[in-house]
Amino acid sequence: MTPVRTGFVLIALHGGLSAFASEEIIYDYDEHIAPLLERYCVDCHGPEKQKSRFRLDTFNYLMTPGSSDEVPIVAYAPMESPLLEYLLMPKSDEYAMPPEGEPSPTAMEILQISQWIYHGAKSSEVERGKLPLDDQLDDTVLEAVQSLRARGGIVQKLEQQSTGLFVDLRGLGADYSAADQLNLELIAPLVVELNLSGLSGPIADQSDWSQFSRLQILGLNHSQLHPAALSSIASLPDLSRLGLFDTPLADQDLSILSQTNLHSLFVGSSGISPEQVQHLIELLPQTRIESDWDLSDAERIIEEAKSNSTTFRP
Amino acid sequence: MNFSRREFLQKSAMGFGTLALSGVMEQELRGSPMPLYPKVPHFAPRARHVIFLYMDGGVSQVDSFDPKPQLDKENGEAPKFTVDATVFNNNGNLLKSPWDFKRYGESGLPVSDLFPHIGSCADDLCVVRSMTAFSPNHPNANYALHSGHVLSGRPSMGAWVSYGLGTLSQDLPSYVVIHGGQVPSGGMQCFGNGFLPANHGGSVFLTDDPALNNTTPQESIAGMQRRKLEFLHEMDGELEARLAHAEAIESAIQNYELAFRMQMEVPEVTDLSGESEATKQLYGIDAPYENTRTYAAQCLMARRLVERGVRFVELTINPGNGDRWDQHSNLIDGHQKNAMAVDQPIAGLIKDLKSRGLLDSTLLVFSGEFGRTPFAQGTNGRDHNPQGFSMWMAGGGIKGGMTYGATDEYGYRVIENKLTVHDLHANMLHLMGIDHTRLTYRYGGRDVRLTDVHGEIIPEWFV
Repeated sequence: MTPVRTGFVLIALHGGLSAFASEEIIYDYDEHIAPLLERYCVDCHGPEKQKSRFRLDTFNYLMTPGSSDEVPIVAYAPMESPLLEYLLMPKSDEYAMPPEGEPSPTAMEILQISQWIYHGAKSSEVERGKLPLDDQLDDTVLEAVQSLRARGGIVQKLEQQSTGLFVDLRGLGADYSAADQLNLELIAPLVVELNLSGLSGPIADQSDWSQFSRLQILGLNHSQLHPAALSSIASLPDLSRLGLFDTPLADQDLSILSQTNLHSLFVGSSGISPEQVQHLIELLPQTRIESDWDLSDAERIIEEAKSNSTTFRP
Repeated sequence: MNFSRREFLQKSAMGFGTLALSGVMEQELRGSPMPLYPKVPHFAPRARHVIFLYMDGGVSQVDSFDPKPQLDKENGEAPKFTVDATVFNNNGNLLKSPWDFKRYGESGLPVSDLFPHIGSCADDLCVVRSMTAFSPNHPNANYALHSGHVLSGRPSMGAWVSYGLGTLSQDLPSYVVIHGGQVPSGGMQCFGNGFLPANHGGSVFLTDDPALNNTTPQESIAGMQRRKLEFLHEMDGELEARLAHAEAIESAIQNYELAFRMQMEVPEVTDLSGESEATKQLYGIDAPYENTRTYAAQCLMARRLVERGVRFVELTINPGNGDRWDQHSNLIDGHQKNAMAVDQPIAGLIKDLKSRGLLDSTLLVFSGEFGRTPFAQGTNGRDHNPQGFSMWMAGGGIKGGMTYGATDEYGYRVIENKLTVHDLHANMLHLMGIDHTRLTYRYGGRDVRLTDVHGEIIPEWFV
């Protein structure tokens, strides 16, 4: 494929860069660039479709080849970045993006993208993820983290380059208090994985879980839930695994989960009837639902083995 | 709070021990000097815990997870392939498996009649048929399986995991060995911390009551033990502050502190009386065979430890099956007893973890130190075979119902996707969110890894 760049656009680009540079506007992926890509590109290059195997819906996809042949962005080098190359092609070129007739970014928007690449294609979110946890957080949130840790909870980054948190408060046990719950709410928007297994008390008062907007894994085994909590939990957009083993529930509580996108759900020993579990399994074929094991399986294996001379010694 | 750990320790007039007691400050410090405080993984982990089911002595691959119909056809004939020297070098003719294989689950994974219960979990298993060992001898192969190195003295994989990730429980060690009683060839140092700080060594729990000795305070006055400990810490802390950095003293201070907290936690976690009868039956705690009952208790205790945040739990087998899985003779009797002891408890553990949602975050590994020969030793035994054997993994981000690698048509040598313990360790660490090339400890003038300079990540195994 031959890169085609018109003299007009090049001149405009250079003029634009110097104009921006003098004003010292530093564009940021999360604030400025992601919304542009979302508007013009992600329909065809996102989670739904990946035309030419390109995805442009996360920072990571922009900076790594993914399953495509090229890295869309070369930091500090707008004119070496394939994304910009496609954007600058005349619409008559079959490789021009977005394709002819589709809504396309304006010249000013293309300049923003090139300006952003020129300054290193930074993402404030990703930069923050590289910091130690304490430096990511403002004073109020840091205080909440420190307080939860002092109480015996574990609060840490999920992984080294991340702003998401792993929170495990099982260590608080019966001491889990309303103050702890308030602290947890302060950090809620950052929590990706949360284990509250075995906790009671204030948990039972929490009906609204919507502030846990990034939550993916939630462990509530052996805990008590507010009857209204499940509908709030079920509507968390990213939640993929939910543990409710030995958590008192009734069949009607679980019907709320018929809307869920959960990948796995654990409802053993929770008081849910086998019929309701079966109903849910049929209703949610894409969700793995684990309930109690069946002791008769083990008994059957033992009986069969007794009659099989090569399994056990007579 | 930005000064270095060394400066911190030097400036701390009270010494480090007192700080550890405060229980708060260590968590505010960068790099958290508490060695067991949980550390941030390199990348998002799939497994947070490991249960290593150590099949001491070497399970025969052709009698368990690697069926070889060719052995049935040529049973009793002299091997047509080159036979390398074995340990006893008393090699006889080809010996077919005395056990039938059945296909289990949706995957149709074949498992021998030694393991009907484990077979019922086939869709959760990733059976690797292409493992090789670094040594044909028990002690060296055991050291290698545990530490990646055939000589003694290196840190065990559990110690590396503890060093890399710390614990998720404040009141329990990060690496626990639930000892069935069979001391491995090579000794209990298979579970040691090697050159890593002493906090990371395996803590041995027994199946007796109590599981751990000396957890009952002897002081007659309440609070006296705490005061004694604080005095001890103060003295140790003064020495620690004078020396600025003495790992052995730091480890000792922290071990005292952990031991104090374990007094409360260990009796509770090892007490199985609160488990339902059905759960006990699932594991086989009421089984007719005594060693099944013991191993069932070990498996149930393993689940309880994992539930409370212990990172790495390892189970040794029990003596009293005649011998470990080391049937140089009387293969049928020895393998049957060993299998009967572990089969139902392991399947119970898988099912129980699965029901609680813990299997997703707990990696199970079932492996011996090597396999056994497809030809007989004498007439009715099998000798050691390091050139190809089977192991399996389940849970913790492992894809179930699959096999990986292959041995030749007799089950003797690996012919496809040959692996070593380095590869096993690299993938175990990977599932726990650790890049095995970046988990290093400075020792003997170089940055040492569990995987030495080896270890291949195998994405096909992962969900």
